[in-house]
Amino acid sequence: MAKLKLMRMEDAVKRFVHTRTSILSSGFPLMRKPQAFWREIIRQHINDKMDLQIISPGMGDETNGYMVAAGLVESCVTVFISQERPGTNPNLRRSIEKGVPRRIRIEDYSNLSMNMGLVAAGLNVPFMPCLSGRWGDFRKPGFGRRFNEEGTIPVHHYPKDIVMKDPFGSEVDTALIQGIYPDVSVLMAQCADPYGNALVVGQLAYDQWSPFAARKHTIVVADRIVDTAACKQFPNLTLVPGFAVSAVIPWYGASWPCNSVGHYAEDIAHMNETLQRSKTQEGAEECIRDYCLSYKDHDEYMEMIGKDNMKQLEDTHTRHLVDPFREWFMSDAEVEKLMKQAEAERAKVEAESEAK
Amino acid sequence: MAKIGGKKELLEKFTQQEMMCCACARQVPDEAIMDIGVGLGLVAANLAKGIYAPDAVFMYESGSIDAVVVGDRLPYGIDDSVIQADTPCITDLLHVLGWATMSGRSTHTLLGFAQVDKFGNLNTTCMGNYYDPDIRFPGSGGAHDLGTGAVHPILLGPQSTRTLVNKLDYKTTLGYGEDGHFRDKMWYPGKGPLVIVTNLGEYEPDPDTHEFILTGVMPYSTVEECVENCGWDLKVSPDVKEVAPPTVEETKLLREVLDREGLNTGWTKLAKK
Repeated sequence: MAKLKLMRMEDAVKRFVHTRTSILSSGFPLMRKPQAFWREIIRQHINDKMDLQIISPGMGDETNGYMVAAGLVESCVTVFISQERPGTNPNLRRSIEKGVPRRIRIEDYSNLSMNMGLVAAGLNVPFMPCLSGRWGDFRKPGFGRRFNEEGTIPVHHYPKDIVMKDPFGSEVDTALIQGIYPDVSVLMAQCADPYGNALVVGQLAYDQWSPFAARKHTIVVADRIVDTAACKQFPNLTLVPGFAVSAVIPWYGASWPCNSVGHYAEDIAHMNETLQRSKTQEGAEECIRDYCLSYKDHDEYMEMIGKDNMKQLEDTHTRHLVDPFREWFMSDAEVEKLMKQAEAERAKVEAESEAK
Repeated sequence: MAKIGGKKELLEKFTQQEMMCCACARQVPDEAIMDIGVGLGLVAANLAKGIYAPDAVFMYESGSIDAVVVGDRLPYGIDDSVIQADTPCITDLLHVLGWATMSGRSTHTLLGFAQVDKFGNLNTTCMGNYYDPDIRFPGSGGAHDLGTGAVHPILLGPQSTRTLVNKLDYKTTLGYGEDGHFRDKMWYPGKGPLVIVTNLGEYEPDPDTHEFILTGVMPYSTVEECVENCGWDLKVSPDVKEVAPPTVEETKLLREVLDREGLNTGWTKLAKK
């Protein structure tokens, strides 16, 4: 029988995020980013030196900026530190240019080459050939994780200027992109069933492969929990099969202020406000207080977003993309009942394991 | 050489950013399949689709293909919800940048820059030492991939000796390489940049050396200004021409539809003067 994977946000961060954990984020600068997960990391570790590594297609979003401003990040692997129209994240700039509050190490890729690195990790091969990366300064030495027979080991300096001539005889040469191996991959999904099957609609960006790059855990943060019948009705939209998932965190609005198409649009006004306020370290710390530490539970989180504001964001042009799933949305009471059951099952397994 | 440009009074009628959008849009043919980015390039692409290339297919690297923008504003980014609501095909980045772009199906793209050199190589990563930069810019995003694979990249950015430079602080995106001929040895579908459009002029590659030379002067600018504001020893085409100012149709589309608030082109500040 399939295992229930439901887990509370607080519990998931406690279980899966530790000192020096390498975490991969789903989505794109404005889209489907597990922002509430990052907020919870800050809530639990605001006074800790975590030395986390963030792997993200867009490091410029609100909460990745707060992670850097809170000094929780040692390094990041990324392609872009801007949130597009709202602009480059000042928290990242302050860290990279001035070392405030600490200088993070940054390793740059292009979108295609970074995606290929994650495909390599997903396919369990050391590298992928790619036309991108053959020219330019991405070939400066990088850091990260070296593939070996026992899994991966962290290294601090590895060459990226590796070119291979086609061993099958053509004259074509390609760059070899080393696998990028996060410990934990966090996927923001519009819907998931209680067993981990995650339904995603809209642009997929890196996420055809990003959930499969994780060496230890794939975690799904879902706006809505649905009955498995929804996945069976649209099986091609199930991006990740349940057995591959360590936890499903139900948290409506988790992507805010980024969009979760079908549920809510991007909150550009909020992004503009927080990027503006983050221009000083003090301003960033105030934002962390206001938007990470200020709520006690999900109800207060929704109050922080603002009920009227959320209503406006929900009046999005993309509503029809999630319409087919609405009949299978589970109520809060149903989800809570299954959550307790999942917690009881986990406690039993853990007790048995300890007894052994 | 006949006197061209120098009509400074035109800057009371339109902005330099509007001129850049028009100059880029005129480069896009109707059969284009375009990878679209953000910022001024997005405005220019939509201007092209509105006037010169109505049948162009727009692809956004995060996954939307042949997207129609819904609502009353341009997207804030390539992953904005307004380009995911009325789109017949939505997929992932590997399909757009891997399959469509690296197989040569993407005919055009518009790429912004912080620095460009005389062979059309771009920097969008940093100024100063990469490991301890004076200014950190957003980074490549998909620009490196689009510059490599899209058949005809169109480059656009502001011009000064700090932006049109002899040597890039960081090599983000390939134009024609350090010697102008890097692509000759590579199996790239991309032919190299078609044109550099700045607020002062238009620059096209010499067919043999691939060094960019001045071929067009914005109507309010001059050859001398283009040369003075270029960090390399700029050659001027004997056929250098004056770029036509924005047409009534272009201005109308820009101000009434594409950039009503002037966030990208700054035209609303002009109106207040």
